[in-house]
Amino acid sequence: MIRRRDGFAGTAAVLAVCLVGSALLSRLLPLPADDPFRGTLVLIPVVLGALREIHRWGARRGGRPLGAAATAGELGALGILVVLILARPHLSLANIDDGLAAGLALVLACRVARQTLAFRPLLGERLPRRPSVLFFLLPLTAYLAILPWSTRHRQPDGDEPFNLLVTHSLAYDLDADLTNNYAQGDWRYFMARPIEPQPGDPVGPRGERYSRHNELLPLALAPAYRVAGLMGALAMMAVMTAALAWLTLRLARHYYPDRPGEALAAWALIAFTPPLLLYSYQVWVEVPGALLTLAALDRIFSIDDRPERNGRAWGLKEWLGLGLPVLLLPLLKIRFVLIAGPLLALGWWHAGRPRRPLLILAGLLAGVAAGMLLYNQVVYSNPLKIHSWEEVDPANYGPAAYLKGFSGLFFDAAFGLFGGAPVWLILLPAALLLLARRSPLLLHLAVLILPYLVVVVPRVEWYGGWSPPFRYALIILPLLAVGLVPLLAEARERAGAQALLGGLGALTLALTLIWLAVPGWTYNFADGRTYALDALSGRLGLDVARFFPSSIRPRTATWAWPLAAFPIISLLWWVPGRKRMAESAALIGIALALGAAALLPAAAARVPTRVIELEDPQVRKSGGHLHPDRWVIERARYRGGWVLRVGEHLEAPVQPGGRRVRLRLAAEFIRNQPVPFTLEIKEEDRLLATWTPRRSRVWETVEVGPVDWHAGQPLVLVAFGAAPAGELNGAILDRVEMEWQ
Amino acid sequence: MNEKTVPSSPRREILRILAPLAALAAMASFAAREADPAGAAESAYLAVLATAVLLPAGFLAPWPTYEVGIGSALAAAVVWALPPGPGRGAAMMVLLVVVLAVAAGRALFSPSPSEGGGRGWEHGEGSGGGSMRFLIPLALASQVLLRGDLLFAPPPVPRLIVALIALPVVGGIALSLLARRHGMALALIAGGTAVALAPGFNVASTLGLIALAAGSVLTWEDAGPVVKTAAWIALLAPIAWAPVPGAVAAVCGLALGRPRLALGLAVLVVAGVVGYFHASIPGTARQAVWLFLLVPAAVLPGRERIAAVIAAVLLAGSVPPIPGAGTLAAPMALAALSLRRDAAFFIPQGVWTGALVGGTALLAGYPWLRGEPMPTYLSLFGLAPGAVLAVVVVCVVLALAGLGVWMGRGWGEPLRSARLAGLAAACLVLGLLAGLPDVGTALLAPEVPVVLDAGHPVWEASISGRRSIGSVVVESSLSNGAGLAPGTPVAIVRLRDAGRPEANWVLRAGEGTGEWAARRPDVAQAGVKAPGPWVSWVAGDFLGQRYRARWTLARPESASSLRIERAPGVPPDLAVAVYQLEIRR
Repeated sequence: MIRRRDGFAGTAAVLAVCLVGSALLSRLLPLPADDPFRGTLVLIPVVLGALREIHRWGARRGGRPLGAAATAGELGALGILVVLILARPHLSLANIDDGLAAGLALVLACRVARQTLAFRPLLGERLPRRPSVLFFLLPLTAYLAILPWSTRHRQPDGDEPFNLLVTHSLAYDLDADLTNNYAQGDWRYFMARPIEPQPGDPVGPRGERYSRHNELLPLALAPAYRVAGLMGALAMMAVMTAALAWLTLRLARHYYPDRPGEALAAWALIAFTPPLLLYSYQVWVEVPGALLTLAALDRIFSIDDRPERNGRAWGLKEWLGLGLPVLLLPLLKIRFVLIAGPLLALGWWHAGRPRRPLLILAGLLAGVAAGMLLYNQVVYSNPLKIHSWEEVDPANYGPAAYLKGFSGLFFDAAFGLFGGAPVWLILLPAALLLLARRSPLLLHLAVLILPYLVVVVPRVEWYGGWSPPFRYALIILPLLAVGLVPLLAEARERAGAQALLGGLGALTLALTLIWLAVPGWTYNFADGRTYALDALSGRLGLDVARFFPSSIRPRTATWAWPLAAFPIISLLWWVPGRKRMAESAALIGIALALGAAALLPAAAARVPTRVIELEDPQVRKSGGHLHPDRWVIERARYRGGWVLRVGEHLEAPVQPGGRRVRLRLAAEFIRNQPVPFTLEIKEEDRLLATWTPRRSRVWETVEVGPVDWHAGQPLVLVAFGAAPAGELNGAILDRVEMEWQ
Repeated sequence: MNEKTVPSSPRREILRILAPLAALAAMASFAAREADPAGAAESAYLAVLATAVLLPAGFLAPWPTYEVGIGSALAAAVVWALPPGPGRGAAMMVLLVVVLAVAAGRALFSPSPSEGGGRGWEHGEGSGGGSMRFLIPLALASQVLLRGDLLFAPPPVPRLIVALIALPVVGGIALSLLARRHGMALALIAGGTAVALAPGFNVASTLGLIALAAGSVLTWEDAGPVVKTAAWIALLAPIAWAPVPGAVAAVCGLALGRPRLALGLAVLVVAGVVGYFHASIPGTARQAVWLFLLVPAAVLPGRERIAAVIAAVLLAGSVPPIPGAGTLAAPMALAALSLRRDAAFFIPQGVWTGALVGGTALLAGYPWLRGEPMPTYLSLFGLAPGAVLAVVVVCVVLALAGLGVWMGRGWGEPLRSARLAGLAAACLVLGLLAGLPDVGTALLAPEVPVVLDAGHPVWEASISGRRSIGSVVVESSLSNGAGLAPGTPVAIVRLRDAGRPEANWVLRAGEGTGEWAARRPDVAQAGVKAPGPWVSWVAGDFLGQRYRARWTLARPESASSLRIERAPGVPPDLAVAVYQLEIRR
């Protein structure tokens, strides 16, 4: 006991010294206040101290000690990076900041990976009921380490600024009335871009402006925000995210108590890879939502561990552990009522179907839901705030909408789980394994999530809207991670599994470094494109994006990927092999992933062009602009296109798939002047056809051909017409379909 | 050395090269389709460079070579994700140095010798074959890092093979022979010091290492007459290549077995060199200082090695650095091999040498391409390489060694080694931080140049805040400036402040700036004089370059604006591209 107390005193002393170090650095660091690395450098002593103490406590509790040479190497690398960061103003190299940020993230990743492996003995032979607090502190330290850079590089977006403004109002005005906050420009405390009330925000009887976002999350953030401003609120989010990772490990004991090693791997996967890593420094209701759901699930399954049955299992812990999350979830976001209901049903079932708790909690839940609907009706004149009953009515959607949304949640290159972190693709064989073993996890997952997904998935905005990937399904990510445990148990002996983990892991590491170095790249617009693929297409001058699935801009890849990935990944996972092969298979997997990458530019240059999306970056434009604007709400409802005005032209690369081709151009004429307008369709300089539209603001399909097409020639569209003063005539050009003969 | 045989199989050897080759495919495929020709050329160069480092690193790293697999993936990511330009090149070089350092570190310190690691940093004898498996790939990879410029504009294939393969392989073999008697640590320090000089394995440095290895073989008690005859031939062979450096190398080799005899011969060599070349004593002393700069721990050798170190100092001072600094390799390596066999000494020295090689590799490689990378690296500590810096370095190393000796009383060897290495690394980082220039204010965004031409001859920026300016750094290049005579004024920099006379400075061709395409074959053949470039970039099939000049004001002044204008009277087609204007206190 005395030793333990001494240990705590030592830790407190180390952290105090580190805090003093950080405070000194914040004063002495020779960097301007707006330097993007300033916050990170200031925080380094605290992060180093925390990692040191985590290691020390881990080793004290039975974890493996970390190799001193590797630690010295990490510190050396950190030192060199710090020197480069301080020297970079003198080097005057473009983009050096992103590279240095990725370097810092790599050093952190190295330490976190080593520490995770060293934690293995802490879990023993059976998963403990209460995992060590170190499984909370390690992710928290990692989240805090990446926070200053990410925050500096990415302004709050989507719902975040409004959640933060409510937080500000609660913290300083002790009310949710945002009128004064908008007037005073209080947004400047957490972002540089001004914000205005959102369409549909409620207005009080005396003109008060409220937010349509619920107050529960801002309430949780307000104390931290009052103390430390934006950083305090974000640190609070990091605490919630780390708690979610810890609870995931705790939950695993209910399903696979004798698989501690694999549970550790699943914990590391959820804690340190996207999407949770990306949400750790952002203000979204999904993380607290998942936290409440997991807390409730843990309480539900804990009932099984207790000797009492048949209703007597229900006690104070259940009232609090299940009742509180069930009632808080709808207050966090009304759609979470669809999670709260199934949670209550699961709890009731596991507790031996007691009638009284069910009736009371169901009544309370119904009361909360009805109260919210009533409140919305009174305040917003709409029980669903900005949504309509038609929008949430599953009967209004066909199977295609469900398929598109569900596939998009996982496969969409911009918003899907696998696009952000391909290592999660191993969920596909995991699902098969769970199915084959008739795992109760699948049943729990289905009960919990089906009602929610049925409402969320078919909506036009299934992707979340200005959010990082996998937003609406983030709430089930912990259960998905736990579902990997039985699969990972087989990984060590299987060459295919090791190869998959190696290849997908390397790809995920590279992508994670990119997402951390350039945080804005995970905030894609709902236009069927992604920042990363756009950059690639622009660099290559080829349409690379067409090989990746998008549920917003459906194409062959949208359906081909899910159909192909399921069998291929599953078969690869179960490729048999000798144990000797398994240890080298990860290397083969990395080589295969790189080989696949090598095929991509070649494929883009050889696979015949079937569709040209004319707003894409590989299409060179002399002028014009995107349509509709990228920031338009529910962007997926619009046909994306490029506005070409009189005197402008564009040139699209074409990979021929035959000698003759029939072209179909989808275009809409915009008449701003009562003068003629003509669009020439050319194969480089050779005129193929002209389009002279008659009707304005009507989508038309212009058919050309079949015409001869010569290899290597681009498609050129040129807008002609008179150009009187004022707005010019033009056309929105959506896409060209090419049918080869 | 406590080395064990490393199990190997053909399958494993193939797998070691699989990831680097796949990375090459990914990078080359990208380069082949890249729309921007300059970007494509740079991608192709980086692909070849990365693969040439990763392949030997694959054989160096302990099985299953995770670092090389991940390094290959990250190298491909660098080429794919970062925009073309010097920044991408710098990122790639840092990544490759790190991958090589991790692979070497794991090979040395990995706890499982059966997996290809655990060769041990400690001194003591070991088998030459095992250390060859470590040292030859390390030498090959280091050579590519230090001489990577050869891959951009490759010389004829035979010369390329000699430069990038034959010399490092021979150097690696020589080092493994040295490792057998002197231990891996000292052999690595000796090799690192030698390759930092040249840089890389050139003929001079390799022959120096061969002579030392031959001298070491001559001391083997189990060597037969054939081996000893071969060793004598190898010891004397450098003399046939170049008499003076060869003789110095041979004396260094002899010093390993017969230090007193070598000391006597060294005195004769010094006398001969001074007499024949009329070398000045201060010049000789200045050159000898380099030994303490590169091998500071040699200042306190073991008693039995004092004669060898004195011989090394004398020879280092007297050997003419012709055809290059590589001729100093033998005396420097001799000093390294004469260090005390105590971790307290060779660990700080090892950290210093490792950083020296790493820093030299970064500065020798793209995009910095410094002509003398090692002295440039040393100057990053804020002092010109010379006696003062040598004294500082020696003091720090001795202080660390003293601390190490004191630590040895309380801590076990691995813990002491790790902490001492950490302390040495911390001192190094602090030294580099101390050497950083004062924080300046950049007036332009990086790599977005302002072009001053006949149509736009002036650019001016206001300077916010009332701060005193001690110097102005101008990063620039000229277009169509190849025909200008050296010293021709091309631009005038003016610092203005209300109510004060303005301060002017003239930027001149061939001094502070130069032709951006000075390395293009047609321009280079015309004998255009350009200063050393600040940074280079791949501009198709040649390297473009920009230059940096610093205007130090007589006394710090405050200014409200900085104006740069094209000099009057320059040819009409001359353009001055200003990449950066940084004002410093």
